[in-house]
Amino acid sequence: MVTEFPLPDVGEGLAEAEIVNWLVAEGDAVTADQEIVEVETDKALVGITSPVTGTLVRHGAPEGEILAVGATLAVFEDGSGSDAGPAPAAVPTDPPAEASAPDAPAAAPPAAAPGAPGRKPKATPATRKLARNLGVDLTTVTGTGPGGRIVDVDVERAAAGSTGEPPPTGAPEDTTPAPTAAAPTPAAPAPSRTVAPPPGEDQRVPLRGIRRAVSRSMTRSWETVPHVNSIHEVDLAALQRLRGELKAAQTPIPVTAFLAKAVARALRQYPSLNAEVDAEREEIVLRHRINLGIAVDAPDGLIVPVIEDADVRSVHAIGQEIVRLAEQARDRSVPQEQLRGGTFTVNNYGPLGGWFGTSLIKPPEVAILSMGPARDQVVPRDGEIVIRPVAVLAMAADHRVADGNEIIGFCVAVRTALEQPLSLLVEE
Amino acid sequence: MVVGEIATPVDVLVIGGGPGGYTAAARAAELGKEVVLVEDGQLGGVCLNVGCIPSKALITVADQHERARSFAGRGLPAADGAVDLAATQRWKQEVVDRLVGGVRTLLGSVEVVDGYARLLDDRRVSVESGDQVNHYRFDACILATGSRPVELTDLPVDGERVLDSTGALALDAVPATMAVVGGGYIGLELGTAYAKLGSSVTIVEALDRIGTGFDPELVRVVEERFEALGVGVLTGARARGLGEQCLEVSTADGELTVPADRVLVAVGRAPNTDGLQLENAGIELGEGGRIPVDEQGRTSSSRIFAIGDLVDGPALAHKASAEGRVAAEAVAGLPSAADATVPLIAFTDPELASVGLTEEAASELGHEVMVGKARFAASGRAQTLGTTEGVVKLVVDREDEVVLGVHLAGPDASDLISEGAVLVECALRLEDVLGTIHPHPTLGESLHDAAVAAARRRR
Repeated sequence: MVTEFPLPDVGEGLAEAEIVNWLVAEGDAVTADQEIVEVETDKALVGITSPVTGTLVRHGAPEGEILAVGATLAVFEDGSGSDAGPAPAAVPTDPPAEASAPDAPAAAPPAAAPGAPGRKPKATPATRKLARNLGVDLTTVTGTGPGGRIVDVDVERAAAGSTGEPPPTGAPEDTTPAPTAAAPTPAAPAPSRTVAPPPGEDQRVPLRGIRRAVSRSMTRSWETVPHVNSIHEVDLAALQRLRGELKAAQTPIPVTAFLAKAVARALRQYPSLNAEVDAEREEIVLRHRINLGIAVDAPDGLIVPVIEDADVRSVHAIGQEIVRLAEQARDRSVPQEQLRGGTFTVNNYGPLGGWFGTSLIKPPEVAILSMGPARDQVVPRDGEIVIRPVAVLAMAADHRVADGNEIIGFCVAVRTALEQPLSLLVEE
Repeated sequence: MVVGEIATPVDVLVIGGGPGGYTAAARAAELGKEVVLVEDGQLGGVCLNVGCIPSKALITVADQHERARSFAGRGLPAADGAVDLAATQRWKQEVVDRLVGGVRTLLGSVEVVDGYARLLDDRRVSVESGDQVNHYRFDACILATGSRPVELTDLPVDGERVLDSTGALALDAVPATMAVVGGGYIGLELGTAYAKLGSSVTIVEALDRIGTGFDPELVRVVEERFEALGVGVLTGARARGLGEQCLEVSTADGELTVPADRVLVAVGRAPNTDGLQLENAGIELGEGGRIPVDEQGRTSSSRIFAIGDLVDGPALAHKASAEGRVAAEAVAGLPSAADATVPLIAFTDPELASVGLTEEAASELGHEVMVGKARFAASGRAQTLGTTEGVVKLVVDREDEVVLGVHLAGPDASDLISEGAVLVECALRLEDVLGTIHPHPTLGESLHDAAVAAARRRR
């Protein structure tokens, strides 16, 4: 039986994904749960697994193409007759059981008790909770418990992507789509940074989406980039005053915009910090554009949208862009192209609190600058003790490309610009 | 409003302090969130103040009064005399006050704000308290403003002759005659109570049957009891307006009048969405004026949740509190979902209770079913309680013998249904019920009897 497998919603509310790498060629055999393709969403690189055992007849799109969610990702031939087995993942074996679909109860026939479910998976509330914890869609799980009941082990097996014991009757059952962690269904919960394990038990949360992307990138950074740090204090009194005046003039500009502008300008002086390392060819690639990644706290994790050519944009324009990106990050609508091509990352973690912290460089970039919150500090000025709003600038740079003199020089340039913020409003 | 006004940041803002709202607030606080609950009336909402709890107090008094009379021939001294409804009201209020105090304790660290909340956008609300307006900026907002009785244009509630359920629960004298417009569970419950207290009650229902939502076989038990209590039932009948100590009604057979010193209008409940200014957050209403939500209660605006009577499904406190819990857990990032079956109960005489699929609904979904029934007349305990009306029905899938639904009309059905809810929720099978010892002599035994009856239907 030939079945079309649509691109699942691999993120939350994702509209499209780019085909990065086909792992199974057209005409090749596949087994259920084998990873067939890597797709990149605006958040992460995600592997998608085959819903069936059989042959991958056709790719729905070539590498590099962007596919809409729901469009055909691949066509399979599962080797069974037309009446054998249910269609893959997109068509659950049971009719959709969720009577809680918003419009269902109202349309229920009068004889059905209101609030009564449709056909629901045969599983206890405890097992259903486990399934939700593991991101398993029960409508696609075959129960091995008494009377076909779905038991914990079925859910765990589905979550692990393991087929486990082959069903005794063989082939036809093999086509039963086992949802796997690697082929997330729309029901899969977004791994949230705020998940608290239920009292009294450990919880295994699959690394997915942004969490996985962050995990991979940061591991690469930690393992391959020799970091060197440089810490500076910056007096933000003048900047606070200027921002107050701008706000009173109904043209507020966020702090991050000034920081970004100061960084962009300083990078022109220190091009080795706006670069990439090509370790294989032992070359440093000096990037000709200054594209600043701005770390933004999104609901699912940290994302870094990019402001291109920040050095030639005004502080005001950068500010508007940052406000827009923060909004988009919040409702997960940052365009995919805006998450690429960064050459340097700026991280204003001030709103989160704390005092000073260092960041890890986001490869292939070679440096990242973080700024903390402004706090009133007692500082000596011209022999007097005064109170000034002071923040910490923490720089991390790749020691392969830059040494102390450049790194510290860069930081001082940024600091000086922030302490004389009017200079940033004046275009050079 | 002042430009640059400060909005107080808060993790979770709950609007409405009924069973849905206070459960959501308490759960969110338990999960470590900073929670503000805004309520413009009494904590406890309709349920505690003018719904479930006071009606059960009134129903209990009516029931005890009627039972005492029915036991006169069984050795109890004759119980004559009328009920002192004013005293009942005082006791009812004590119970309510005690429970409202309990809600405050339950809320623990939750900050309770007395005021009226309106959405300003998808992140902020304004709260009007007296002549003060405060703004809050929330990470998540849970809407739990509940519902109010639907009014009829021909029969506006005046609090004197025409009452809604709130008014009917506050009477301090028993009316000689009462018409109840609406044969849903609220009308049936209060109609029964006033009949037992001595009113001559007539129920006027526009549909062709009363007790919609329950298995007709269960409703028949209540109808038979109505005959014994002298409660009149008019179906296919529309209330037209008030007459001289009567209600004018039109039916297929023509116009007639129903004696009515008081008229109780109980024709349904409408969600309280008007004052929330949902449009400011871009939330549109769905069917029946309710708010469309996903399985976690999330509206089209990702930070805003809606629960209970504001969303689809029966307007019941236990549904609202279950949804409140789920919404709070969703806010905390837990993968919670409102996927449980909602049991229905009505405190009629005898009580009605239902969970899961009815025989008819199961068949429509393609289940071939076996139905086992047991009548309370055959129960030793029911006989010794002097209440033998009623039946237990077990709806079982013929193929895998999973219990799909449990339906009860009978004494204490509202308590007995919890066993049915566990059976259905855990997808337990007929053999599980058969193999569980139900103590003797109890009403619960009848559920086992119904399982035995279902097993006889095996091929």
